[in-house]
Amino acid sequence: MTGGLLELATGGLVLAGAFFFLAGTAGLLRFPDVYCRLHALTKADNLGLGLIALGLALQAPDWAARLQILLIWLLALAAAATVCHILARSSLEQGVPAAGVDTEVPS
Amino acid sequence: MRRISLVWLLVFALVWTVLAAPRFDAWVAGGLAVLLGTALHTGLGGRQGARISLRGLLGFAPFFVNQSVRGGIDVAFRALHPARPLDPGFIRYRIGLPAGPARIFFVNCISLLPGTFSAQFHDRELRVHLLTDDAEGARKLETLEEKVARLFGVRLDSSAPGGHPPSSSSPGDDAPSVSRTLPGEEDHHG
Repeated sequence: MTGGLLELATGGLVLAGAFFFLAGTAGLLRFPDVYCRLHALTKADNLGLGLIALGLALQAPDWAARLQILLIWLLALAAAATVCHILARSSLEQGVPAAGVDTEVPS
Repeated sequence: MRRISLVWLLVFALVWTVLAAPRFDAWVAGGLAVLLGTALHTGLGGRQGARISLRGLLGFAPFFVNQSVRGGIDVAFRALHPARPLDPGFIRYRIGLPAGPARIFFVNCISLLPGTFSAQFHDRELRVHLLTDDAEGARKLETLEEKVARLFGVRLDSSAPGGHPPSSSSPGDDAPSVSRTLPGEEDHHG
């Protein structure tokens, strides 16, 4: 019986993770400028991948596999934070205009 | 210095072992990556040690997860809402954490928590992009910074608590003093 419950929990967590990826994609398409889109793009890695990783960790055969999943999530987080910062900084340096700010950016 | 490089060599090797499982053929690429990683880490000045207490980590992890879930739901709601309610903007924030691993960790955490990311920073001056630019965003940064300080067991520079007012914010305001800035307004530091 516990096996069935575990599978249900995995299904729920993975679906929830997929939902956040979907929402992130919607944000990527719908948000007004590069800065807002970066939010949508990078945050899917945090919560979406986190939920999927948690769901899969429940199915993992042993603790080595769980540690592996945790490590993959942490590395994805580190990459997301770094990439987000680099893209934002280079956009700012190139004077890419931001929504919600009244004045045009001087280039 | 050489000793710490050796420690990091072992850490990276351990990371690869966990990722790839101890298979010999995986070490052709992995060994190279471990060596390059260690060289890069040393070259980029990663010699400053950081001491993270287990108790600090146990306090920080639930906070991070809680913020991620709440913020993630908020951002997902805004992305899927027909009217797409956003009020984006940049704020400046003066970092109170000392230079080193704690500060880098803080700047990266800002980018991971939904609704905020670090767009630029130089020394203590940080520019953060908010998806909804309100006073709560700035307060969230202060809370996060305090948590990071506790995690690393360092003290915040009390001479400049929280955000700082460059020119335009009203005095005597209890809200964290941050100001909206435009991209390209300040000098760009590398």
